Amino acid sequence: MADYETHEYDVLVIGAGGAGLRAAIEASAAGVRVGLICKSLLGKAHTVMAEGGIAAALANVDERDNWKVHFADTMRGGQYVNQWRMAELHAKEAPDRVRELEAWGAVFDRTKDGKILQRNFGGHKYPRLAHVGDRTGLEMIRTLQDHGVHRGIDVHMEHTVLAILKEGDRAVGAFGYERERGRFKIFRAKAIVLATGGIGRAYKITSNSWEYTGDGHSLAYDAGAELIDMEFIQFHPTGMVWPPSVMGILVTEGVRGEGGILTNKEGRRFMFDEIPENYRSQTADNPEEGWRYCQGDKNARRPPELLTRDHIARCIVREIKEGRGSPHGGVFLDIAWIKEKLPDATEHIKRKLPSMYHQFKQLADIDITEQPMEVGPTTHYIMGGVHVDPDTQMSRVPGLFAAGECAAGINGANRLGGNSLSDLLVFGKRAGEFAAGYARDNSFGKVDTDKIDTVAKEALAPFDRGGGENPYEIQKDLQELMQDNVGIVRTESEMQHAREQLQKLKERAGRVGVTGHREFNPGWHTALDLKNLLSVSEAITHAAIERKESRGAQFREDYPNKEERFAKVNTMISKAEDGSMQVRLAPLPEMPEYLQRVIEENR
Amino acid sequence: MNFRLRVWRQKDRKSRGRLINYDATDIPPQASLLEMLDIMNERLLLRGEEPIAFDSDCREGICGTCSLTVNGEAHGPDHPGAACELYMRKFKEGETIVIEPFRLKSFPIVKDLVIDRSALDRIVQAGGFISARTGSAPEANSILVPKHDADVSMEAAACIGCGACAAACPNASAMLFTAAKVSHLATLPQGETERVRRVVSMVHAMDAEGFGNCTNIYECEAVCPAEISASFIAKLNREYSRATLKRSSGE
Repeated sequence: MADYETHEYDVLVIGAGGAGLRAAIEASAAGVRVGLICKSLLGKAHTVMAEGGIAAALANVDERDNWKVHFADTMRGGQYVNQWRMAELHAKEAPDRVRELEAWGAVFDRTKDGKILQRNFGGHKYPRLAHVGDRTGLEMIRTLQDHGVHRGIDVHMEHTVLAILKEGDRAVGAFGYERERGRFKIFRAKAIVLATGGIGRAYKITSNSWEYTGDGHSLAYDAGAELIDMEFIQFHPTGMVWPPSVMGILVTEGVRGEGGILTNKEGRRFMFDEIPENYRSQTADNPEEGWRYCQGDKNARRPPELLTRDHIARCIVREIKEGRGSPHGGVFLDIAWIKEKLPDATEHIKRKLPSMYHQFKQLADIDITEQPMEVGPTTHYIMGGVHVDPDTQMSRVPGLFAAGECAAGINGANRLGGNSLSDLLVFGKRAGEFAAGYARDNSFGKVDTDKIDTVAKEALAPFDRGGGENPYEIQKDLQELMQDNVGIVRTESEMQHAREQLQKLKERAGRVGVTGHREFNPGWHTALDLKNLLSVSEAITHAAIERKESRGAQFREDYPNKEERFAKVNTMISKAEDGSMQVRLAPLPEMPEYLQRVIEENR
Repeated sequence: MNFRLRVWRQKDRKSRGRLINYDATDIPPQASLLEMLDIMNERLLLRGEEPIAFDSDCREGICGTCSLTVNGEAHGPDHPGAACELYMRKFKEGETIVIEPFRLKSFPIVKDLVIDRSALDRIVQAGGFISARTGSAPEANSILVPKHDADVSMEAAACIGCGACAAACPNASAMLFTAAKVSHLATLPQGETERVRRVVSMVHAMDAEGFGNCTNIYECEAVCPAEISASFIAKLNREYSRATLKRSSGE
């Protein structure tokens, strides 16, 4: 084996978003030596883009709120396939984690009497989201980062991990490279926490940043951990579709809340065409009533534009698929029409939706007080991820922990807005705490030098094939394949097609070539991300094929209803001895009676 | 659209860099500056040349990763906004666009347009935090913050740490950055305990990193993508004087 720079830590945290930072802080506070690896710069993690807030039953605004209601809301949102223990811990511990953040200097919007203000959000019974304007994620990361830096955590910025190293069954380190110089490094560790976030970049249209290539999912899978619930991907119904540079960026639900309507190219308000039976009694019959609802008329029912995210996303897809979309492959979202209703509409829009006005003016050169926006569904969040023990966050690989979006279980089939930031804090802390404990009870393992040689050789192979396949092309083809075949509306034949095509893309990825040298080479970085993107895409496809029903975020045209036989199971993906991908259905853990009662009481 | 680009290319920290000319042809006007660089990079790769290294993350003006000087201005001519929020339609057809990294001694160039801004991290490390204990959550509502104070604090906390303030300043001063960090915590009750120590050590760290002093030129405020007011620098000066007085009077 070549002589690689080697670092040793008690706990190694991979990923420096909310979960990674919180884990690192906790482990460091427990008195062990902590190393933190991030793919980009510290503090630039994707968590900064979360706008809504942190869901925690602080009961500052409505005193009826408590952990039981939050737990019941989370389980209902997840269609009861959540891991109940994670949902329970999350609801119970989120308020403590928010107060801790406050003590570290996080700024929050305040009530008149100086308490943390909380706002309403979809699926939460009471106002529950602690927030600061629309930049809660940024404030959370800044606080964690500032609190973390003084703890003496070693930070390795702009590093990518290529493999988890094992001794026998146990995880004992990681092998990766420094993006700046392209040099390989070995990180030996007694315990490892994965906190790498999501997989959005497997899709063409996503609100996720370039770093979201499913690294943690793929690393854990390769190391022998199981992935759970991979079929559940949340698509936000309204993302920008034009211009290309901003494709996928979110357009807040607030636009529809203020009276924005969705229309197709014929000018038809298509959301009235299909209203689900169970929502019919709560939905307006005509545009007039919908408008009155948006104006605060308590006797009016909500317009169909305010139905659940998954339903709206599917209606938009139907319009586009049937040829009634907008010029750039979306539909129209029109807020300018309210001029018919309000004399000072232009000012009203600017006052109510300042960031959206700014966003479209700045990014798309569109004045939303005059013109409709073009929007389409955008890949937003994956509920699935590494299957972990709910209390300790350890996967089935000893010494390998996961937290945040790359871990799974708390959200079930669908996530409520605001539950991700609290998830990061609650389970980031737990992962850090138990990883530190594990590190204290175990010594360093022996790293597998053969494995390192193989990984290094594979990683450098693209340079030997200068004229091989272009990594950007493969990435683009993969994103289109997933977008078109394993997207919002799914069906067996399309997914089987995707499965076959994924094999072909894998073969092409094996022939990928790059030029230049190893120092900060974006082409090479893209080539190395392909493996992870392909693994998670395959896992999503397998799991989605296996769940032959529609539930939460998974909608199957060929099985449009919920099925009893899938009501109490999770899909589990793992790597077989021969390297092939295995999928199985695992029964949900039995929920204890006291929690069943909580759910009944909150029906 | 077509442009003539002059892009700073530098092999590594030690090498000498220079501006290289590129023709950027057929660029869609709705492309952002960073997307234009992506397009250029794909073309360079096809020609077997090395792509231009630059940093980016969110591309929505939230994270402060992109740190480019465009036509001599930090984050380019379209203020307020980060370089990722700069669109090609803001330029004239056929215009020459000069793209360089932020230039100051405290931010060494890593490669091409990528710089090392860890100097800012070290200023924060010197005191920009609250060292409350980890793992013991405080009692509910034990910290009450008046709404007005929280709003002022947030105006300072809005800093995304891009470093444009220092890059735009003829004195290479990072005082707007430091002022934002100090003011944010000095306004909150949580920050009170370490208020004196914080400002002194952060200012010392700032000086040690080689940043200059403020002489009220206001370039920083003009380029700040988070629109942080230079009046926070006045607050920093006040905090610093207060702290040194307290120290010298033995408090």
